[in-house]
Amino acid sequence: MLVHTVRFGSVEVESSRVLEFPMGLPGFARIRRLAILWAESREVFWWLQAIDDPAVSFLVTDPALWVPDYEVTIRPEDSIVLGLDRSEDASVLALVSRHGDRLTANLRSPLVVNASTRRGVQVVSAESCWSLRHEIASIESPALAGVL
Amino acid sequence: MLVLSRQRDQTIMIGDDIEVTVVDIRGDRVRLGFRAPSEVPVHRKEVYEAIRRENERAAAFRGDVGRLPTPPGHEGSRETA
Repeated sequence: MLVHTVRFGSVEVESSRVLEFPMGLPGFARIRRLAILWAESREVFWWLQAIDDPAVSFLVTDPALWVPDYEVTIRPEDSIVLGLDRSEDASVLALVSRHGDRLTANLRSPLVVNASTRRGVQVVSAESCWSLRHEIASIESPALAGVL
Repeated sequence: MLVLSRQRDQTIMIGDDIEVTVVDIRGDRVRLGFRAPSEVPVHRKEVYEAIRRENERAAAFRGDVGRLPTPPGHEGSRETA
C-alpha cells in the first residue's frame, strides 16, 4: 500500500510490515496502524510511521541491543489483545526520543508486538524498574563523535 | 463531572460492559476494582500521563542527531541507502 508521510514523502509498504495497535498509544489514541520503515541504521533502529496521520512517526529500537538483561512483563489482558500464546512470538521495541544532548529510549513502556498476528500494544506499567528515559547515547559520546 | 456516593462492595456501571467496584476503604485510601473488555485500557492517570508525555516527545524527535548511533559491541556502523 502507498503510505503518505511528512518525513519520507510517499512510500510503498507491504501489508506484512503494517502493525495494528487496537488500543492506540497514550497521547495517540486514534492511531491504530503503524508501518515499519527502515531507518538509516538497519537492524538497530526503525521508523514506525502512522498510516492514518502522515505527520506522526516514531523512531524505535530493540531494547535488548542496549541493555542485555532487559526484560518486560506482559500482562494477561495485553496478551489477549495481542493474541499471544507463546512469549517467543513477542517482539519488543522502545520509542526513542531526544532530551537535550541525550538520546533516550523508553524502556518502561515498550511496544510489544505479536509477530504472527502483527498486533501490538504499548505496555503501561506502574511497577517497572526501567526508566522512561533510559540514555542510549550522548551527543558528546564517541558513538556520535564526528558524525554531527 | 458526575459525582456518585458508593459504599464498600457497591459497583458503578459505565456503559454496558465496564464495572467499577469499591473494594475497600481505609482512611483516605480507596481500592477500586475494574472489570472491562481487554481492549479498554485502565491505568492510573499519573502513570498514563507520564507515558503520554514521553510518547509526544518521541513523536517530536526528528532524527536530528546526525547519524544514529550503534549499540556497544554491535559490529560496526551499518550504513544503508
